[in-house]
Amino acid sequence: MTDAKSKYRELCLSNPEIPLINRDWWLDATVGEDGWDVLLVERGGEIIASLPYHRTKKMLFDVIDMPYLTLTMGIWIRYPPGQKYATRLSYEKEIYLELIEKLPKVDYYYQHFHWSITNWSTFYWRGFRQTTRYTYLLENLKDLDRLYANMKEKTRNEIRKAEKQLEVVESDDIETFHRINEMTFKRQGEKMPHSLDFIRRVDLACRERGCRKIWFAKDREGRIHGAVYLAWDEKCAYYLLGGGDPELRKSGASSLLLWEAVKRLSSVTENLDLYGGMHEPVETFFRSFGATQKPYFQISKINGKLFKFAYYLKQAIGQLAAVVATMVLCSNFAQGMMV
Amino acid sequence: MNAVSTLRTITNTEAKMKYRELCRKEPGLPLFDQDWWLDVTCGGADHWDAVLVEQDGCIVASMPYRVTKKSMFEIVSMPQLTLTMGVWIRYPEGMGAGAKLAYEREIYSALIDGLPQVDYFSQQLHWDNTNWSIFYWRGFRQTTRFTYVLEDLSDLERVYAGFTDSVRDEIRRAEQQVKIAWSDDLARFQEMNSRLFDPPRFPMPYSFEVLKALDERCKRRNRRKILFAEDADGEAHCAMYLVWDDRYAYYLLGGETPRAKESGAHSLLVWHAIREMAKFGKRFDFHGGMHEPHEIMYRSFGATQKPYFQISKINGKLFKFAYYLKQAIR
Repeated sequence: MTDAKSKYRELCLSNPEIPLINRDWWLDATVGEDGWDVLLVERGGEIIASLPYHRTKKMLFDVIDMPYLTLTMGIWIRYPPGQKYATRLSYEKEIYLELIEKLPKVDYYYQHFHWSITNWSTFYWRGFRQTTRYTYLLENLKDLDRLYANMKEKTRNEIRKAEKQLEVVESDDIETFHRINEMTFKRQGEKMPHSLDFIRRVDLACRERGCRKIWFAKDREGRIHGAVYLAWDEKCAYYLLGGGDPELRKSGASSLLLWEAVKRLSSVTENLDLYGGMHEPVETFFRSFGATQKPYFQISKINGKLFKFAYYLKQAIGQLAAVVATMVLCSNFAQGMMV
Repeated sequence: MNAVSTLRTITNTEAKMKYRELCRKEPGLPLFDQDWWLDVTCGGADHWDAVLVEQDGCIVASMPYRVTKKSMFEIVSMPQLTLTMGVWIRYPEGMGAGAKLAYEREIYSALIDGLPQVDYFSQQLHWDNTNWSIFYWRGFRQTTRFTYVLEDLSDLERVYAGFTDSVRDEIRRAEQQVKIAWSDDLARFQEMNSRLFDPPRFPMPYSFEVLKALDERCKRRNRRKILFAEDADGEAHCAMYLVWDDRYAYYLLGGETPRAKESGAHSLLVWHAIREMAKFGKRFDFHGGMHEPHEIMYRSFGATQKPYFQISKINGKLFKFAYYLKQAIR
C-alpha cells in the first residue's frame, strides 16, 4: 500500500468531514483495494488536502473516472480558521496546483467534485474543462415541519394516501432490494447497471459500519410496492438507490419512502443528498419535495493524443467509424514503425 | 399550474420592438442587455435579435442574441466588449425554492423554443442565471466562467480591509506620486489600452470604431467615466474605462505604462473608482478574470468570485463534423 493511501485511511477514521462516499472503505467496496489511490497535500506533517481517484483501463487507454454509485469525489481541504477571502483563493490555488502536479498523466481524466468546491480557475489554466451538474439536497433534517411545508401539495396528498395502505418496514434483505431495484430499470427498458455481487459488497461494508438502511413499503398482503437504500455519515445521508414494482406504481410508495427516510434519519444526520437529478423525470420528483438545487463540477482533461483523436472523431462521425479509423491509423503507424 | 399555460414566446420584429420598450422601462436589465449597447457592440441594429416570454400581456423574460455568418455557417456568439448577455427573468414575489425551479423550467423552455436553429450557438449568460438544467435537457452544453465582484460598498473601511497588504502599500505609495483625473479623452485612453495587446499574437479584442460609438452613447446617457492616474508632470501611469447600470459599475477596459509598476498607480486608480461608485450605491464588477494574471489582481482587492455560465450547442451536421474533426487532428 502506498504511503499516501495508508495516511488517507487514517484520515478517514479521524475526520468526519470526509464524505462517506469518499472514504477508504467505500472505495474498497466499490472499486476494490487496487482500484483507487489518493493524492495528499501536506504542510508541517499535517494533511491539508486530499483527492482520492479511481484509475482504470478502457480498451487501450489509461483513464481516471468516477467509481460507480459515487456521485462526487474530492477535493477535501482543511482551511485555517479566520482566513481572509483573498487569502483563501490563493490558498486554494496553491493546493490545486500541487494536486494537478501530482495527478497521474492518464489519457483521459474525469471526476465529479463535491459541491463544496466552487472554484475551478486553477484547473482551467492547466487545460482542464468543466461543466456544472446538479444534485438536490434536503437541508436541515431536524426541521421536519419546514421540510413538510416545502413539499408540493400533490406530494403531501400522495404521502397521506400511501400511509393509509402501506407500511414502511426496515430490512436487511439485500437480495429482495436488488430485485425491486431491477424492476425500475426493466420498466424503463434499461439494463441494470450493477450486479447483485456488487451491491452485496457495498452493503456488507455499510452494514458493518451501521450506516445504511433498507426500507420497504409493503401493503397488507405483504406485497412490496417500493424500496429505498440510504447510507449516511455525520453530515449527510445519501439516497443511493430506489425502486418500485411497476404493477403497483400508483400507490405513492416512493414519496412515502423518501419522507419516512427523512423522518427516521433526522436524528442521525444533518442533510439528505438526493444524489443526482440531471435526468428530467428525477428532477421533477426531487423538486416536488422542495429540495434545493446544488451545483457541482465535472472536471475533465484529455492528455493522450490518440485518445483525443478517437474521442473527437467519435463526436464527428459516430462511434463505429471512429473505432475503425483509429484502428487503421494505429496499424499504419505500427507498420511505419516496422519499416 | 394555471399561470404557466399562459406563457407565450415572442420572436422576430414584434419581439425586438417590445424589447426596446422593455429596455426603457425596466431598470433591472443589465447595461450589456440594453438595446442601444447591442446596436453598437453587435455591429449594427440588424445584427441582434431578442426572444421574449410574455405572460398575461406582461414581459416576464428576455434573451437578446447576436447572429453572424462565419464562412458558410450561421452562428450565435458574444459581441465585443460584452461579458454576458441575457437571460433576464421577472420573478413573482415570495417564490419558494421549488416554485422557482418550476417557474424557471417553463420560462427557459419558452425561450429555447424561440431561439433560432443556427449551426453553432454560444452565449454567456448573466450570473443571475444559476440553473441550466433545462438547456441540458434540450441538448446544450455548459461551462462555468468567473468574474470578480465587490458586492457591498456600503462600508468602505471594510472594503479597504479586504485588500491584500501589497495593494494597501501600493495605494499609500501612489498617493505620494499620482493624482486621479477624470477625462473625456478617448483617444488618449485608447492609446494606453492598445499597449496591452500585441497583434498578431495578442490581437485587440475589440475595434476602436466600436469603442468610439459606444463612448458617445454612454456619455450621452451618463453611463461612463474615463479615469487617468497622472503624475506631477501630467504623465499618465494608468487608465480605466468605467461603465455602469443601475446596480453595478463595470471595469470595462484598462491601460497602463511601465511606470505604473513602480508608482502603484493602478491600485490607487481602482480604489478611487470604487469610492466614486460607492457614492451612487453601486457594486463593483471587475468584468472578467478567467485570464490568470487578471485573477491574481482582482483577487488582491478582496473581490468575490462570481460564476456565470457559457451555454453552447451545435445544430448543423456539417458544422459538427468540421468542428470535431478540427479538435481530433489539432
